[in-house]
Amino acid sequence: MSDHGVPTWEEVARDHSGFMYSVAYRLAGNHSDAEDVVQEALLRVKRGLVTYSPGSLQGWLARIVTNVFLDETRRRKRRPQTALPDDPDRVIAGGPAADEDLAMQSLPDHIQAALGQLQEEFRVAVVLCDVAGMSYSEIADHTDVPVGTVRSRVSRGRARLREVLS
Amino acid sequence: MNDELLSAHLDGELDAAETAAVEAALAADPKVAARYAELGSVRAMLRGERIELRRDALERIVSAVDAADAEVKLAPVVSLSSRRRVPGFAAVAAAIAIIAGVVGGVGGTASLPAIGDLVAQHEAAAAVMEGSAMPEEFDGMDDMPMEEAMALAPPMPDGMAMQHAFLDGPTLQLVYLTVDGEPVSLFRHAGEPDLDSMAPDGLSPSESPGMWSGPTGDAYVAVVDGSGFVWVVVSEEPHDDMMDDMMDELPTRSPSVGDRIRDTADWIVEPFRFGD
Repeated sequence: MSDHGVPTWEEVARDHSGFMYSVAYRLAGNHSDAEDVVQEALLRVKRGLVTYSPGSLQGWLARIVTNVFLDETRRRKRRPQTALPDDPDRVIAGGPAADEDLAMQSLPDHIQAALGQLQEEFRVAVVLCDVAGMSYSEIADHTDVPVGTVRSRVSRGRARLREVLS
Repeated sequence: MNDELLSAHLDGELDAAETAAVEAALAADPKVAARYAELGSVRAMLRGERIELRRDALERIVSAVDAADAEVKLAPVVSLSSRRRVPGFAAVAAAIAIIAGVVGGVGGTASLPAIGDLVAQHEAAAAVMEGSAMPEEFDGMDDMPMEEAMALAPPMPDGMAMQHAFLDGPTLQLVYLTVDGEPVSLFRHAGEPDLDSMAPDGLSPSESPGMWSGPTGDAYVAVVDGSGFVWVVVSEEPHDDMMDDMMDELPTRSPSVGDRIRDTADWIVEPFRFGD
Protein backbone atom coordinates (compact mmCIF):
# COMPACT_ATOMS: atom_id res chain seq x y z
CA MET A 1 0.00 0.00 0.00
CA SER A 2 1.38 3.41 -0.89
CA ASP A 3 1.62 6.30 1.51
CA HIS A 4 -1.53 7.74 0.00
CA GLY A 5 -3.69 4.70 0.65
CA VAL A 6 -3.67 3.59 -2.97
CA PRO A 7 -2.92 -0.12 -3.37
CA THR A 8 -0.23 -1.28 -5.71
CA TRP A 9 -1.14 -3.22 -8.80
CA GLU A 10 0.31 -6.37 -7.24
CA GLU A 11 -1.87 -5.92 -4.16
CA VAL A 12 -5.00 -5.53 -6.25
CA ALA A 13 -4.23 -8.66 -8.24
CA ARG A 14 -3.36 -10.67 -5.15
CA ASP A 15 -6.08 -9.51 -2.78
CA HIS A 16 -9.01 -8.53 -4.98
CA SER A 17 -8.93 -10.70 -8.09
CA GLY A 18 -11.20 -13.20 -6.32
CA PHE A 19 -13.79 -10.51 -5.73
CA MET A 20 -13.47 -9.32 -9.31
CA TYR A 21 -13.86 -12.87 -10.53
CA SER A 22 -17.02 -13.41 -8.47
CA VAL A 23 -18.61 -10.34 -10.03
CA ALA A 24 -17.39 -11.27 -13.50
CA TYR A 25 -18.60 -14.85 -13.24
CA ARG A 26 -22.04 -13.83 -12.03
CA LEU A 27 -22.34 -11.38 -14.91
CA ALA A 28 -20.81 -13.48 -17.67
CA GLY A 29 -22.13 -16.88 -16.65
CA ASN A 30 -19.12 -19.05 -17.45
CA HIS A 31 -15.49 -19.37 -16.46
CA SER A 32 -13.91 -18.66 -19.83
CA ASP A 33 -15.71 -15.37 -20.33
CA ALA A 34 -15.27 -14.45 -16.67
CA GLU A 35 -11.51 -14.95 -16.93
CA ASP A 36 -11.43 -12.80 -20.04
CA VAL A 37 -13.37 -10.09 -18.24
CA VAL A 38 -11.03 -10.20 -15.24
CA GLN A 39 -7.98 -10.09 -17.50
CA GLU A 40 -9.21 -7.00 -19.33
CA ALA A 41 -10.38 -5.43 -16.08
CA LEU A 42 -7.01 -5.98 -14.41
CA LEU A 43 -5.29 -4.44 -17.42
CA ARG A 44 -7.50 -1.36 -17.05
CA VAL A 45 -6.80 -1.32 -13.32
CA LYS A 46 -3.07 -1.49 -13.92
CA ARG A 47 -3.19 1.36 -16.39
CA GLY A 48 -5.72 3.41 -14.48
CA LEU A 49 -4.54 2.94 -10.92
CA VAL A 50 -2.97 6.40 -10.94
CA THR A 51 -6.47 7.84 -11.28
CA TYR A 52 -7.87 5.94 -8.29
CA SER A 53 -8.77 8.08 -5.30
CA PRO A 54 -8.82 6.26 -1.97
CA GLY A 55 -12.39 5.24 -1.20
CA SER A 56 -14.39 2.15 -1.93
CA LEU A 57 -11.82 0.05 -3.74
CA GLN A 58 -14.23 -2.82 -4.31
CA GLY A 59 -16.83 -0.43 -5.70
CA TRP A 60 -14.24 0.96 -8.11
CA LEU A 61 -13.18 -2.54 -9.14
CA ALA A 62 -16.80 -3.66 -9.56
CA ARG A 63 -17.46 -0.71 -11.84
CA ILE A 64 -14.48 -1.59 -14.02
CA VAL A 65 -15.50 -5.26 -14.20
CA THR A 66 -19.04 -4.27 -15.11
CA ASN A 67 -17.81 -1.86 -17.77
CA VAL A 68 -15.68 -4.57 -19.34
CA PHE A 69 -18.60 -6.98 -19.29
CA LEU A 70 -20.98 -4.47 -20.84
CA ASP A 71 -18.40 -3.50 -23.48
CA GLU A 72 -18.04 -7.14 -24.43
CA THR A 73 -21.79 -7.64 -24.49
CA ARG A 74 -22.25 -4.68 -26.81
CA ARG A 75 -19.45 -5.93 -29.02
CA ARG A 76 -21.07 -9.32 -29.36
CA LYS A 77 -24.44 -7.79 -30.12
CA ARG A 78 -22.91 -5.74 -32.88
CA ARG A 79 -20.86 -8.58 -34.21
CA PRO A 80 -22.19 -12.01 -33.26
CA GLN A 81 -19.47 -14.61 -33.16
CA THR A 82 -19.81 -17.53 -35.53
CA ALA A 83 -18.07 -20.86 -35.29
CA LEU A 84 -15.90 -22.00 -38.15
CA PRO A 85 -16.24 -25.79 -38.16
CA ASP A 86 -13.50 -26.22 -40.73
CA ASP A 87 -10.96 -24.69 -38.34
CA PRO A 88 -9.93 -27.48 -35.93
CA ASP A 89 -8.12 -25.14 -33.54
CA ARG A 90 -11.19 -23.02 -33.18
CA VAL A 91 -13.45 -25.98 -32.47
CA ILE A 92 -11.08 -27.45 -29.90
CA ALA A 93 -10.55 -24.12 -28.20
CA GLY A 94 -14.26 -23.63 -27.74
CA GLY A 95 -14.57 -26.14 -24.90
CA PRO A 96 -13.26 -25.83 -21.39
CA ALA A 97 -10.13 -27.61 -20.26
CA ALA A 98 -10.67 -30.79 -18.27
CA ASP A 99 -9.79 -29.24 -14.92
CA GLU A 100 -11.91 -26.22 -15.71
CA ASP A 101 -14.82 -28.49 -16.58
CA LEU A 102 -14.44 -30.22 -13.24
CA ALA A 103 -14.42 -26.91 -11.43
CA MET A 104 -17.57 -25.89 -13.27
CA GLN A 105 -19.38 -29.03 -12.17
CA SER A 106 -18.58 -28.36 -8.55
CA LEU A 107 -20.14 -24.90 -8.58
CA PRO A 108 -23.78 -24.21 -7.75
CA ASP A 109 -24.89 -24.06 -11.37
CA HIS A 110 -28.53 -23.57 -10.51
CA ILE A 111 -27.81 -20.07 -9.23
CA GLN A 112 -25.86 -19.22 -12.33
CA ALA A 113 -28.51 -20.71 -14.58
CA ALA A 114 -31.15 -18.61 -12.87
CA LEU A 115 -29.06 -15.46 -13.19
CA GLY A 116 -28.61 -16.24 -16.86
CA GLN A 117 -32.34 -16.06 -17.38
CA LEU A 118 -32.51 -12.47 -16.19
CA GLN A 119 -32.44 -9.64 -18.67
CA GLU A 120 -29.10 -7.88 -18.62
CA GLU A 121 -30.25 -4.76 -16.75
CA PHE A 122 -31.79 -6.85 -13.96
CA ARG A 123 -28.78 -9.16 -13.76
CA VAL A 124 -26.38 -6.23 -13.53
CA ALA A 125 -28.46 -4.61 -10.77
CA VAL A 126 -28.71 -7.80 -8.72
CA VAL A 127 -25.04 -8.70 -9.13
CA LEU A 128 -23.82 -5.22 -8.25
CA CYS A 129 -26.06 -5.22 -5.19
CA ASP A 130 -25.71 -8.76 -3.92
CA VAL A 131 -22.31 -9.87 -5.20
CA ALA A 132 -20.41 -6.57 -5.32
CA GLY A 133 -22.22 -5.18 -2.26
CA MET A 134 -22.84 -1.77 -3.81
CA SER A 135 -25.53 0.56 -2.48
CA TYR A 136 -28.47 1.60 -4.63
CA SER A 137 -27.02 5.07 -5.09
CA GLU A 138 -23.67 3.64 -6.18
CA ILE A 139 -25.40 1.37 -8.68
CA ALA A 140 -27.50 4.27 -9.91
CA ASP A 141 -24.39 6.38 -10.47
CA HIS A 142 -22.64 3.59 -12.29
CA THR A 143 -25.51 2.51 -14.51
CA ASP A 144 -26.77 6.05 -15.08
CA VAL A 145 -30.34 5.38 -13.99
CA PRO A 146 -32.35 6.83 -11.09
CA VAL A 147 -32.13 5.19 -7.67
CA GLY A 148 -35.81 4.25 -7.96
CA THR A 149 -35.05 2.29 -11.10
CA VAL A 150 -32.26 0.45 -9.30
CA ARG A 151 -34.64 -0.40 -6.46
CA SER A 152 -37.16 -1.75 -8.94
CA ARG A 153 -34.58 -3.74 -10.89
CA VAL A 154 -33.08 -5.34 -7.81
CA SER A 155 -36.53 -6.27 -6.54
CA ARG A 156 -37.78 -7.66 -9.84
CA GLY A 157 -34.50 -9.47 -10.40
CA ARG A 158 -34.68 -11.17 -7.01
CA ALA A 159 -38.33 -12.03 -7.51
CA ARG A 160 -37.56 -13.61 -10.86
CA LEU A 161 -34.63 -15.53 -9.38
CA ARG A 162 -36.92 -16.82 -6.65
CA GLU A 163 -39.40 -18.07 -9.26
CA VAL A 164 -36.70 -19.83 -11.25
CA LEU A 165 -35.03 -21.39 -8.21
CA SER A 166 -38.19 -22.62 -6.55
CA MET B 1 -46.99 -4.64 0.57
CA ASN B 2 -45.06 -4.99 -2.65
CA ASP B 3 -41.83 -6.83 -3.37
CA GLU B 4 -39.96 -3.62 -4.06
CA LEU B 5 -40.40 -2.36 -0.52
CA LEU B 6 -39.57 -5.74 0.95
CA SER B 7 -36.46 -6.07 -1.17
CA ALA B 8 -35.28 -2.55 -0.37
CA HIS B 9 -35.86 -3.21 3.33
CA LEU B 10 -33.51 -6.18 3.10
CA ASP B 11 -30.86 -3.82 1.75
CA GLY B 12 -31.49 -1.13 4.33
CA GLU B 13 -32.45 1.28 1.56
CA LEU B 14 -35.79 2.55 2.91
CA ASP B 15 -36.48 5.79 4.71
CA ALA B 16 -37.89 5.76 8.23
CA ALA B 17 -41.55 5.87 7.20
CA GLU B 18 -41.19 3.08 4.66
CA THR B 19 -39.22 0.99 7.14
CA ALA B 20 -41.94 1.35 9.73
CA ALA B 21 -44.61 0.40 7.20
CA VAL B 22 -42.74 -2.71 6.11
CA GLU B 23 -42.05 -3.82 9.67
CA ALA B 24 -45.68 -3.36 10.61
CA ALA B 25 -46.77 -5.45 7.66
CA LEU B 26 -44.23 -8.15 8.52
CA ALA B 27 -45.60 -8.35 12.03
CA ALA B 28 -49.22 -8.40 10.94
CA ASP B 29 -49.28 -10.61 7.86
CA PRO B 30 -47.65 -14.07 7.72
CA LYS B 31 -47.86 -14.05 3.92
CA VAL B 32 -45.81 -10.88 3.77
CA ALA B 33 -43.33 -12.40 6.20
CA ALA B 34 -43.06 -15.52 4.05
CA ARG B 35 -42.46 -13.49 0.92
CA TYR B 36 -39.86 -11.43 2.76
CA ALA B 37 -38.09 -14.62 3.76
CA GLU B 38 -38.11 -15.88 0.15
CA LEU B 39 -36.53 -12.71 -1.16
CA GLY B 40 -34.05 -12.78 1.69
CA SER B 41 -33.04 -16.32 0.87
CA VAL B 42 -32.20 -15.32 -2.70
CA ARG B 43 -30.17 -12.40 -1.44
CA ALA B 44 -28.32 -14.58 1.07
CA MET B 45 -27.65 -17.22 -1.57
CA LEU B 46 -25.94 -14.73 -3.84
CA ARG B 47 -24.05 -13.02 -1.04
CA GLY B 48 -22.88 -16.26 0.45
CA GLU B 49 -21.41 -17.77 -2.69
CA ARG B 50 -17.87 -16.64 -3.41
CA ILE B 51 -16.64 -17.88 -6.76
CA GLU B 52 -12.93 -18.50 -6.41
CA LEU B 53 -10.43 -17.87 -9.14
CA ARG B 54 -7.98 -20.74 -9.27
CA ARG B 55 -4.35 -19.90 -8.58
CA ASP B 56 -3.13 -21.13 -11.97
CA ALA B 57 -5.81 -19.10 -13.73
CA LEU B 58 -4.78 -16.00 -11.79
CA GLU B 59 -1.15 -16.57 -12.68
CA ARG B 60 -2.06 -16.87 -16.36
CA ILE B 61 -4.12 -13.70 -16.21
CA VAL B 62 -1.45 -11.70 -14.39
CA SER B 63 1.19 -12.84 -16.90
CA ALA B 64 -1.06 -11.83 -19.80
CA VAL B 65 -1.78 -8.44 -18.24
CA ASP B 66 1.92 -7.84 -17.61
CA ALA B 67 2.73 -8.80 -21.19
CA ALA B 68 0.03 -6.58 -22.64
CA ASP B 69 1.05 -3.65 -20.47
CA ALA B 70 4.71 -4.06 -21.30
CA GLU B 71 4.11 -3.89 -25.03
CA VAL B 72 3.48 -0.19 -24.91
CA LYS B 73 3.82 1.53 -21.57
CA LEU B 74 0.87 3.78 -21.08
CA ALA B 75 1.75 7.42 -20.68
CA PRO B 76 -0.21 9.37 -18.12
CA VAL B 77 -2.83 11.77 -19.35
CA VAL B 78 -0.77 14.86 -19.94
CA SER B 79 -1.63 18.43 -19.32
CA LEU B 80 -1.10 19.96 -22.69
CA SER B 81 -1.36 23.42 -21.20
CA SER B 82 2.19 23.05 -19.95
CA ARG B 83 3.62 22.31 -23.37
CA ARG B 84 5.03 24.64 -25.99
CA ARG B 85 2.95 25.85 -28.87
CA VAL B 86 3.77 24.77 -32.40
CA PRO B 87 3.22 27.11 -35.32
CA GLY B 88 -0.29 26.79 -36.57
CA PHE B 89 -1.41 24.51 -33.78
CA ALA B 90 -3.56 27.08 -32.07
CA ALA B 91 -5.34 27.74 -35.31
CA VAL B 92 -6.00 24.05 -35.74
CA ALA B 93 -7.22 23.69 -32.17
CA ALA B 94 -9.45 26.71 -32.44
CA ALA B 95 -10.93 25.41 -35.66
CA ILE B 96 -11.65 22.08 -34.01
CA ALA B 97 -13.11 23.80 -30.97
CA ILE B 98 -15.61 25.48 -33.21
CA ILE B 99 -16.23 22.20 -35.00
CA ALA B 100 -15.79 23.94 -38.30
CA GLY B 101 -16.81 22.42 -41.56
CA VAL B 102 -20.02 21.10 -40.16
CA VAL B 103 -22.06 18.89 -42.38
CA GLY B 104 -25.23 20.58 -41.37
CA GLY B 105 -28.83 20.63 -42.33
CA VAL B 106 -29.06 16.92 -42.99
CA GLY B 107 -32.21 15.93 -41.25
CA GLY B 108 -31.47 18.61 -38.70
CA THR B 109 -30.41 15.95 -36.21
CA ALA B 110 -26.75 16.55 -35.56
CA SER B 111 -23.52 17.60 -37.14
CA LEU B 112 -20.25 15.90 -37.90
CA PRO B 113 -16.90 17.66 -37.64
CA ALA B 114 -15.08 18.13 -40.92
CA ILE B 115 -12.87 15.14 -41.63
CA GLY B 116 -10.00 17.43 -42.54
CA ASP B 117 -10.15 19.02 -39.11
CA LEU B 118 -10.12 15.65 -37.39
CA VAL B 119 -7.10 14.62 -39.45
CA ALA B 120 -5.35 17.83 -38.40
CA GLN B 121 -6.23 17.13 -34.79
CA HIS B 122 -4.80 13.62 -35.10
CA GLU B 123 -1.59 14.95 -36.63
CA ALA B 124 -1.24 17.49 -33.83
CA ALA B 125 -1.66 14.79 -31.18
CA ALA B 126 0.81 12.54 -33.01
CA ALA B 127 3.33 15.37 -33.05
CA VAL B 128 2.89 15.79 -29.31
CA MET B 129 3.58 12.12 -28.68
CA GLU B 130 6.63 12.11 -30.91
CA GLY B 131 8.02 14.89 -28.79
CA SER B 132 9.04 16.86 -31.82
CA ALA B 133 6.48 19.55 -31.31
CA MET B 134 4.97 20.56 -28.03
CA PRO B 135 1.94 22.80 -28.15
CA GLU B 136 1.73 25.38 -25.42
CA GLU B 137 -1.97 24.96 -25.11
CA PHE B 138 -4.83 23.04 -26.60
CA ASP B 139 -7.50 25.69 -26.83
CA GLY B 140 -10.93 24.51 -25.84
CA MET B 141 -9.75 21.05 -24.92
CA ASP B 142 -10.03 19.37 -21.56
CA ASP B 143 -7.89 16.49 -20.43
CA MET B 144 -9.92 13.59 -19.15
CA PRO B 145 -9.10 11.20 -16.32
CA MET B 146 -7.89 7.97 -17.84
CA GLU B 147 -10.53 5.85 -16.17
CA GLU B 148 -13.30 8.04 -17.55
CA ALA B 149 -11.77 7.90 -21.00
CA MET B 150 -11.44 4.13 -20.82
CA ALA B 151 -15.07 3.79 -19.85
CA LEU B 152 -16.04 5.64 -23.03
CA ALA B 153 -13.66 3.78 -25.29
CA PRO B 154 -14.90 0.90 -27.42
CA PRO B 155 -13.45 -2.58 -26.95
CA MET B 156 -9.99 -2.56 -28.43
CA PRO B 157 -7.40 -5.33 -28.81
CA ASP B 158 -4.75 -5.48 -26.12
CA GLY B 159 -2.12 -4.24 -28.53
CA MET B 160 -3.78 -0.84 -28.70
CA ALA B 161 -2.65 1.25 -25.74
CA MET B 162 -4.51 4.45 -24.97
CA GLN B 163 -2.15 7.36 -24.53
CA HIS B 164 -4.18 10.52 -24.41
CA ALA B 165 -7.79 11.59 -24.26
CA PHE B 166 -9.18 14.99 -25.06
CA LEU B 167 -12.76 16.09 -24.76
CA ASP B 168 -14.14 19.03 -26.67
CA GLY B 169 -17.88 19.44 -26.51
CA PRO B 170 -19.49 16.49 -28.24
CA THR B 171 -16.19 15.21 -29.64
CA LEU B 172 -13.89 12.94 -27.67
CA GLN B 173 -10.48 12.13 -29.12
CA LEU B 174 -8.79 8.97 -27.90
CA VAL B 175 -5.22 8.54 -29.05
CA TYR B 176 -3.75 5.04 -29.11
CA LEU B 177 -0.35 3.66 -29.94
CA THR B 178 -0.11 0.37 -31.75
CA VAL B 179 2.53 -2.19 -30.84
CA ASP B 180 4.64 -0.63 -33.57
CA GLY B 181 4.35 2.77 -32.00
CA GLU B 182 2.03 4.12 -34.67
CA PRO B 183 -0.44 6.70 -33.35
CA VAL B 184 -4.10 6.15 -34.11
CA SER B 185 -6.83 8.60 -33.22
CA LEU B 186 -10.33 7.43 -32.48
CA PHE B 187 -12.90 10.21 -32.40
CA ARG B 188 -16.22 9.61 -30.70
CA HIS B 189 -18.69 12.26 -31.79
CA ALA B 190 -22.01 12.31 -29.95
CA GLY B 191 -25.05 12.62 -32.17
CA GLU B 192 -26.83 10.81 -34.94
CA PRO B 193 -26.32 12.72 -38.16
CA ASP B 194 -28.08 11.23 -41.14
CA LEU B 195 -24.93 9.87 -42.69
CA ASP B 196 -26.79 7.68 -45.13
CA SER B 197 -27.89 10.72 -47.07
CA MET B 198 -24.40 12.05 -47.51
CA ALA B 199 -20.84 10.97 -48.12
CA PRO B 200 -18.84 12.35 -45.18
CA ASP B 201 -16.34 14.75 -46.68
CA GLY B 202 -15.82 12.74 -49.81
CA LEU B 203 -15.21 9.35 -48.23
CA SER B 204 -16.58 6.34 -50.03
CA PRO B 205 -19.38 4.21 -48.64
CA SER B 206 -18.25 0.66 -47.95
CA GLU B 207 -20.12 -2.56 -48.48
CA SER B 208 -21.14 -2.62 -44.84
CA PRO B 209 -23.99 -0.27 -43.95
CA GLY B 210 -23.28 2.83 -41.93
CA MET B 211 -19.61 2.97 -42.87
CA TRP B 212 -17.39 5.16 -45.04
CA SER B 213 -13.68 5.07 -45.55
CA GLY B 214 -10.80 6.15 -47.70
CA PRO B 215 -7.49 8.01 -47.83
CA THR B 216 -7.59 11.71 -47.07
CA GLY B 217 -4.36 13.54 -47.74
CA ASP B 218 -1.61 11.62 -45.95
CA ALA B 219 -4.02 9.88 -43.58
CA TYR B 220 -6.41 6.99 -43.73
CA VAL B 221 -9.87 7.63 -42.39
CA ALA B 222 -12.89 5.49 -41.56
CA VAL B 223 -16.27 6.75 -40.40
CA VAL B 224 -18.53 4.28 -38.61
CA ASP B 225 -22.08 5.18 -37.70
CA GLY B 226 -22.66 3.85 -34.21
CA SER B 227 -25.75 3.98 -32.05
CA GLY B 228 -25.91 7.55 -30.83
CA PHE B 229 -22.31 8.13 -31.83
CA VAL B 230 -20.19 8.47 -34.90
CA TRP B 231 -16.72 6.97 -34.75
CA VAL B 232 -13.96 8.42 -36.90
CA VAL B 233 -10.65 6.58 -37.02
CA VAL B 234 -7.56 8.33 -38.35
CA SER B 235 -4.13 6.82 -38.85
CA GLU B 236 -1.17 7.35 -41.10
CA GLU B 237 -0.88 3.67 -41.90
CA PRO B 238 -3.50 1.64 -43.76
CA HIS B 239 -5.70 0.04 -41.14
CA ASP B 240 -5.31 -3.44 -42.56
CA ASP B 241 -1.51 -3.32 -42.33
CA MET B 242 -1.69 -1.90 -38.82
CA MET B 243 -3.94 -4.67 -37.58
CA ASP B 244 -1.90 -7.41 -39.26
CA ASP B 245 1.21 -6.19 -37.44
CA MET B 246 -0.71 -6.08 -34.21
CA MET B 247 -1.93 -9.63 -34.59
CA ASP B 248 1.64 -10.86 -34.83
CA GLU B 249 2.48 -9.25 -31.51
CA LEU B 250 -0.59 -9.79 -29.39
CA PRO B 251 -0.03 -11.77 -26.21
CA THR B 252 -2.43 -14.62 -25.75
CA ARG B 253 -3.44 -16.40 -22.60
CA SER B 254 -4.94 -19.50 -24.11
CA PRO B 255 -6.06 -20.75 -27.51
CA SER B 256 -9.61 -19.66 -26.80
CA VAL B 257 -8.44 -16.19 -25.87
CA GLY B 258 -6.36 -16.11 -29.03
CA ASP B 259 -9.49 -16.80 -31.03
CA ARG B 260 -11.36 -14.14 -29.12
CA ILE B 261 -8.64 -11.59 -29.84
CA ARG B 262 -8.71 -12.51 -33.48
CA ASP B 263 -12.46 -12.07 -33.53
CA THR B 264 -12.07 -8.71 -31.84
CA ALA B 265 -9.36 -7.64 -34.22
CA ASP B 266 -11.47 -8.79 -37.12
CA TRP B 267 -14.35 -6.75 -35.79
CA ILE B 268 -12.11 -3.74 -35.41
CA VAL B 269 -10.49 -4.02 -38.79
CA GLU B 270 -13.49 -4.90 -40.90
CA PRO B 271 -15.05 -1.45 -40.84
CA PHE B 272 -11.73 0.03 -41.82
CA ARG B 273 -11.15 -1.98 -44.95
CA PHE B 274 -10.94 0.15 -48.02
CA GLY B 275 -12.85 -1.82 -50.59
CA ASP B 276 -11.58 -5.11 -51.93
